[in-house]
Amino acid sequence: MDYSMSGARKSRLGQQVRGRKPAGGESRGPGDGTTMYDPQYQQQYDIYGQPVPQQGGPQPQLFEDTSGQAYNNYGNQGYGGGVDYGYPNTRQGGQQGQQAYGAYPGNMPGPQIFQDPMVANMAMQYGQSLASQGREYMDKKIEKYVSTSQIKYYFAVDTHYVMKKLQLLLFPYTHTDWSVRYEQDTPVQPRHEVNAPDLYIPLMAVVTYILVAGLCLGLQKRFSPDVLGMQASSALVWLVLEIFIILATLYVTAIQTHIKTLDLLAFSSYKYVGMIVSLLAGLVMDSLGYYGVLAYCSLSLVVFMFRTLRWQVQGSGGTMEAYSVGNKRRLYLLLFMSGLQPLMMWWLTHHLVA
Amino acid sequence: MAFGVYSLLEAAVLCLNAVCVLNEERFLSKLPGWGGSHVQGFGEEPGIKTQIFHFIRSVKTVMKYPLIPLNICIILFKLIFG
Repeated sequence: MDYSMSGARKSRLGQQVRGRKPAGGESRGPGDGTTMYDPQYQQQYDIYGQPVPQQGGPQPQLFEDTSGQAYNNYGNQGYGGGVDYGYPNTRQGGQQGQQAYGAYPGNMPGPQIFQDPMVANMAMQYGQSLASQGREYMDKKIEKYVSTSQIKYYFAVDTHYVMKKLQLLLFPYTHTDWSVRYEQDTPVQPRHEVNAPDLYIPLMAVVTYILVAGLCLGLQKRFSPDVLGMQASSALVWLVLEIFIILATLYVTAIQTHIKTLDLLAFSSYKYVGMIVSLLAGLVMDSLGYYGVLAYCSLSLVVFMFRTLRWQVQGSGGTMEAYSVGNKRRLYLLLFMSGLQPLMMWWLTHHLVA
Repeated sequence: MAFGVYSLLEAAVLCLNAVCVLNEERFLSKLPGWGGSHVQGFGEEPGIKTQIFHFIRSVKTVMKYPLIPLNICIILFKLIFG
């Protein structure tokens, strides 16, 4: 949390106490409607349209987080509504409440208490704080098994990146600069760097592969719903095996790399894109289309993997250094990883094409 | 074709069994390079043989005791469900 307050923030907090309704459109910050937020440029403007000096927090903005904001707006609207319109209501509510209170034995405050906007607001804020505490607790627990803070960076993609990456996967021959710019210590978001690995494309590709496999089997009248489950689990098993083999190879040959396991997962799953294209071509023109497109996709993927991994495995750069033994091992590892891809592509799809 | 997650688990347990069953005095000591911890330099890349021997030794140390209940579970599972 960033506890230092700039002058702009102090003025915003001061204005929040008055409980103004938000002016409509998107607003960030305390949600009092005095600042507008332009998500594309990450710049805040106050109500006069002048840019407000923004304080960069310790965490980069990865996603538009609208979850807490909705509650904030709603709570403020409720409070604002109470101030503006609730006054005559509370008078009537008080009168009705007095009559209703008489109906309860022992003068216990019944459900009417929640119509009082003050109590409703307090209850809502209490529920909000409970929910956020629960969420923090769950995040801490899950962080131990699946590092969610690391995974977030892999899903920070946008449409332009996805289009460029898919184009690179199928036609990597004209791209010249494969190096990845690292930002200080944080992992680079794929949104800013085309050559960085991501997990969005692999995830979508795996799911699409399972659906296309179901489609292929259905067209050959070999389909039943449990076949989908079997395809899914066998695809996952082969993925896990492949990653394990690569990790074991990395350990045995004692190569120092920057590659993390999640990067390996991303790179191993890029072949599903080629597999989907080959399967669809195999649907259109039976064996000839399938093998032809499979050969082309394998070649493209091998080139893509080799060029991408050369920058990741070799640390400082793609140039050969004086330490020749390590470089020979790295080269063999690259060739092994790249050559494994077409084999896996063929192995996982040939039974689906008649 | 792999059949699913359970097959992966079974295959993993079988491979670990294979590594742990290698007898220290009858087989591993006879291999050239087995007592490799005092030969290693600092900072240089260890050879592939040393890495493999390290791997075998660590698997035997870590997995010897947990493998017993794992094997019992799988045997019971196969007995009951076939």
